[in-house]
Amino acid sequence: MKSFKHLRMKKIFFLLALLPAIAFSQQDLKTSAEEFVRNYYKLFQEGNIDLLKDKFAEDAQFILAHGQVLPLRETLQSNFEKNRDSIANYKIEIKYIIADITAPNSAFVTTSCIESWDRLGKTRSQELFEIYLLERTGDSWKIKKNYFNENYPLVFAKTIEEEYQTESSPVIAKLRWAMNHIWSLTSYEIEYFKKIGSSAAKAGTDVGKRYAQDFDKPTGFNENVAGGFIWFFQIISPYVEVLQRDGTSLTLKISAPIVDKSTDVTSEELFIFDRNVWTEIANYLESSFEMTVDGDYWIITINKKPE
Amino acid sequence: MKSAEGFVREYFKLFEEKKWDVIPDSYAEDGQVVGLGNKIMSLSETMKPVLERNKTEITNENIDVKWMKTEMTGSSTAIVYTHFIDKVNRSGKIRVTENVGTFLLEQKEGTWKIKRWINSQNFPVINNESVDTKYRVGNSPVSYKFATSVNLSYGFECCMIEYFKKKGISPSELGKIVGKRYASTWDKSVGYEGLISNFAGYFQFVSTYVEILERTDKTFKVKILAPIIQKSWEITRDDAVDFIQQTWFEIADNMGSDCKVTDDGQYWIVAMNKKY
Repeated sequence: MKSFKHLRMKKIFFLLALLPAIAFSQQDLKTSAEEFVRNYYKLFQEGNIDLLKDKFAEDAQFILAHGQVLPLRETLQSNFEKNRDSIANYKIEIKYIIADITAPNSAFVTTSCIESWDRLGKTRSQELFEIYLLERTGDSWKIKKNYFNENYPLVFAKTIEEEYQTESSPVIAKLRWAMNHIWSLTSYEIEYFKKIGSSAAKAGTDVGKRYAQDFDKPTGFNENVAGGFIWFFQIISPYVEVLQRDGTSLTLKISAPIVDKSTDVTSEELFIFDRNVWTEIANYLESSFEMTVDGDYWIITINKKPE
Repeated sequence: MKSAEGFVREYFKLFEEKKWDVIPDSYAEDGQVVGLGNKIMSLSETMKPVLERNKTEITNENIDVKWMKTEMTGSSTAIVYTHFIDKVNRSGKIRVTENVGTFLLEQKEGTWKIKRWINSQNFPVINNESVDTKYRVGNSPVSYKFATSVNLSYGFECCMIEYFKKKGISPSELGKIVGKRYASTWDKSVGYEGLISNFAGYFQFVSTYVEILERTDKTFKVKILAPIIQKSWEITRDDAVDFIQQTWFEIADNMGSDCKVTDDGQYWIVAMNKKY
């Protein structure tokens, strides 16, 4: 019994003696994973695609914020080729890189940074939040999965006191507000037209005719008309459901917008105005347009007109 | 023992079954959540008020998992990526969101716990099952939708400016009319502070780049990416600036501030200073 206890004590001492080494090694791994990602960003900034490709595991994947999963190597290569001649001054400003070592050969790294670039003489920037899943083989880390989410930056000059600095709003909240803003602008416009004696129906027709002039004549219903309307509804409505679609027709369900309550406009007027705007555009695109109300939703049917 | 994937499915089930008090048991003590604004926060502290609110507000929740991918990263850690549609009836309002969740899990005493949770949301595009595969559409990134939405709202304003210009009303006059109308809906009691905090929020959804250059209790200067005026509109860049300047001036003036918008060719610099 004594010797067993003695042995156990020896084992504990042995483990205690090892602890700093384990902790040190863990810290080393954390630092090296963070350095790996920092260096990856540097190569990215330099546009060094050949060295970048060496940083990926064979089966590396991109996971996009809207659920799409793509092979990392091929996607990056194709993006580089597409943007090679049009993008200049690409820069990455790192806000943070935090690595969690989940096993001796695996790290979960979260990063936040702002990337900026010039395209056709215009400067653009985006805020990126990323997660890298790294795996270690031998002495080197490789990227196994890269998830990223984009937002638009809210930047504060360094001279501004902390009490006046606020967080950037989530991009989904910005989109929601932008959608509401569009409906608010529409409500105010209808109200103004009404004041000068033009009904919501007439205003919708006039505005629709003007918008229609901006469209090219369609080369095909499926791509230009159906595809275009589906895309348009994604940016004005938080809910889009494709109920029916084929080569000559499309039926959609979108959530009905809410009228700005500070205006003298009814939901019915907003409905009529929009229906007339979109009818004019669809007409110009050689299609018919119908819209009905279904509770909190609008049901939209677009059909290709017979040739 | 449950698989990591099984654990996440069970976690979602707790929401569907409204077991709000049981949900925190799924979190590691030092569990973290990366919020929608990319801020890293304590998971249990962040979820506490959310779950409390859910008790009275949520009558139904349905989580439809599209896919799940699991990476076992060690003997007791796993990362689960999942794409799901979340349909919530909150106080009678149905809200549907499309989500990509990333869960970093750790196992303690044979039980999985959430160590880090990152969720991104989008508004969904749903294809009815009867729609032929070749006609189904995928969703677009929320950032892309937002940028297009901003362009659309400026297109809308350009349409108005052009229409009234043709009727003999200048962009500046139109801005004054529109601005006075907007100003009438503002609560004057919130004063200069309310004006600036509202505009600081407003600029974030009317521009894809916002830089606060100056901010004190009496001054505010911001640089925002100006819209591109499409050539098809019969208006100039100056027309747009005149309209915006006058619209925002009317609101600011009503709230005890001046307002000056200048255009440097790519950005608009907006200065709002408190009137003495």
